[in-house]
Amino acid sequence: MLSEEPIDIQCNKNQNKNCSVRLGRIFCDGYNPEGSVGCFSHFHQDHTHAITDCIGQYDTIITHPITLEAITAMDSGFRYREQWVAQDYDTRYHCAAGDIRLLKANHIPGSAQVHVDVNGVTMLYSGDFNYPDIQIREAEYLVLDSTHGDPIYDGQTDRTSVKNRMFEDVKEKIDSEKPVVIEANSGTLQEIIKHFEINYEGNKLSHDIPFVTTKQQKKILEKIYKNEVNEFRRIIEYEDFEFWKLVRGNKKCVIFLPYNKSPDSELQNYYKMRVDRYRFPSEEPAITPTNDGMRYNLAAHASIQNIISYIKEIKPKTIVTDSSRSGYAPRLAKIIHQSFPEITCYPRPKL
Amino acid sequence: MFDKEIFKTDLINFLKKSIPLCEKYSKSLIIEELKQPEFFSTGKYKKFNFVKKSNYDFFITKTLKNELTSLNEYKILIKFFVTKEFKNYNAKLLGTSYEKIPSKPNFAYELPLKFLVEYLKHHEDFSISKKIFDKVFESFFLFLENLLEDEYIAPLFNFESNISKHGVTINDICIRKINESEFSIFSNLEENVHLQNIFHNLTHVMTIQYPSSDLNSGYELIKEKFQRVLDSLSLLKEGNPRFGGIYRNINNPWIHYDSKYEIDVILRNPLKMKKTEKKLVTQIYDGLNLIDFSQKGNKFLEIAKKRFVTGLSRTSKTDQLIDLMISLESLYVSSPGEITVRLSNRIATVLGKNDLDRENIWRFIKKVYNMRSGIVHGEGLRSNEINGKIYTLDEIIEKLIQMNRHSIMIFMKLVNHYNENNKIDRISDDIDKALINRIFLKKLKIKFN
Repeated sequence: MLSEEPIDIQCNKNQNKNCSVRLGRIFCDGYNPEGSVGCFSHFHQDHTHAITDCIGQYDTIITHPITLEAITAMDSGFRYREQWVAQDYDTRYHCAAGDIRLLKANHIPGSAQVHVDVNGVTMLYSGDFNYPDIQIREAEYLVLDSTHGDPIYDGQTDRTSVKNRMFEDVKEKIDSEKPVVIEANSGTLQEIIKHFEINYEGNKLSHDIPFVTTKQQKKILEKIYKNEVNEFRRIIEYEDFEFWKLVRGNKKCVIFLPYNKSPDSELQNYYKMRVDRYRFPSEEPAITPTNDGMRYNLAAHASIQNIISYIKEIKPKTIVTDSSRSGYAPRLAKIIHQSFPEITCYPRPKL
Repeated sequence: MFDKEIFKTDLINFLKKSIPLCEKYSKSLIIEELKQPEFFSTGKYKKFNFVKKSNYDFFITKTLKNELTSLNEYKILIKFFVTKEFKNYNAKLLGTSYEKIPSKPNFAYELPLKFLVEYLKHHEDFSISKKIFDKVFESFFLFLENLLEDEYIAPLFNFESNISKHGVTINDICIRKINESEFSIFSNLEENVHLQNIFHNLTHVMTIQYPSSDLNSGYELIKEKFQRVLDSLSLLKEGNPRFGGIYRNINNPWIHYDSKYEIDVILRNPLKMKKTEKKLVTQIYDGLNLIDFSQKGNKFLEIAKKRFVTGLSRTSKTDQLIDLMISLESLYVSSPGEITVRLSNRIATVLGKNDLDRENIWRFIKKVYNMRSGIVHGEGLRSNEINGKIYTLDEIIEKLIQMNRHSIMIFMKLVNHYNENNKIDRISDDIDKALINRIFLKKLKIKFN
């Protein structure tokens, strides 16, 4: 049964994590047995784990073209399902459940907020986002992803400077004949490769230096940057014999690994650069050394100050914080209520 | 740890189940053509030959990994790898990277696959051989008993010796002939079309076993130890021995090798060490070991030693002269003022065997210090006539090398007779006293002879 509230976080039986976000009769980033229209905000695992169930149930699934490319790169079978609607940012999709718009979220390539208008009642799901540089559309009801504003991810950063510094760090290590492992979440990983190959404005890294990533991440890269792919060097697959030969000789190369793939024991002594994943509280600098490499904060999440600014622009009357994706949701709801006493704010689901 | 025999039984059970699987998928086995070095009887590199080798490593740890790790026999085996020793081994490989992550990889679980690789490399056939199994098992078990132990190896460049592959031991460091795989890795034989000259003369390595609970701390310590061997060799006789880099676990099939401190070494005059000189090198090494160079009072000796070794490796003769003079100054003169007089007086007192010898040394040092000043102050090389004799720069340097070598050895003994406070000043005072008091000179010489 759907609740009376226009927005909610709805978990299925025996589920309390990564639940679906309901905006009216539209379900985002999760499965609901009563749903027929779904949306996926971006392709990170905690937001796309329910695709298979959704495909079996929903008539329409809306997502950004880049996210769709990444999803079909992860499992090519999804490509052949007719429910997909690849929708660009800020274009209207009309269906019986309402008018749906995807808005740029500035989290990873293709990431989107989902805006729904049902007969003048407006609802917004933030998804994972980073403010500013984000599209804004006002909404009466807002569902906030609660990994945002969490003090352990509240560190300040300048993404371009950090990516530039990463590249310089890589060059320095490669110049001293050392192989490098870069660990990042899918999406961010592709963004870093693109930055190294295209966006970085200084001296580039010779294409003789091999770049390596897993077969799946390579596919995602080639899909989401299909217009730029010709400018990239040939990427060696992590599973290939060619890569094994590089490892056997400890040859210099740059290995991009997603966090779901732990490096083999052979790579344990390589120089390691880790992006996000760890706590980056506000008092910590964006780049911090570790005993075997360096940590970089690319701040793919919004800080508490940014959330306050975001809410001011959205002007909601009611906010639901998503406690199925972060235990920080109740605290975030309180902080928002303290800053905006006029807004009703509460976490869902009740755990 | 655990019962060796029970483990052995379970390991052979795993082997019995794995081998048919390997045979079934043998079409996926990659055969590579690899370069293998061949050496002259002198131990020097002769040429490479292409040899065909099956790549069991990729075949087992990548191609067949899922099939092999699904075997019940594999699952039984990894149950052995849960003791404290294996946890420490895994923690060593993990470093602090995974500290806050609940699901950590367990690298000990790769070991049964590595055993299988090693067995196949030795046997080169998909059948069971008890003899090969026993041989590989013994080596495997030895590794399991010393999980945290690493072997560090450094190529010894500019070094010649009749030391065999069995080696000689200097304290805890072994010098021995290089083997094929070491040579291939050091010289990057697989990719190099033309080897650098330095590799054509590479015949020996230094090795040491060292246990550590992390991947980072070992290298620094081993570098110091290897450098101490080189210092000992340099103090023994002429030559420019060097190590280009330090490699870890090249000969260990159970853990992947790595390396640090890759530096370019140029071909220089080799140090020729006879096997019988092991005792002398060990004495010098032990003498250096006795001195705590981190103590402030011993810094002057460390500077002298470093300048001496640097001086030996210089390609420019004038640079060499300056380094060697700095080395002597570090030993004999601790403060500014009348350096020429103090330096020549003290060196003559310590090194001179008789009055004539002392006078010759005194005149020589006075003159060479003057030459050094000419170079340092931009005048270039001043007259090289000493005691009415024209010396070539090579002859002067040769003499300085001997004086340096002799002086450092003497000071290595002297520093142990003095307390920490103002050690160098007190040694200098005693040398000055010895200059005017023959009885005191005799007493001083007892300290370093």
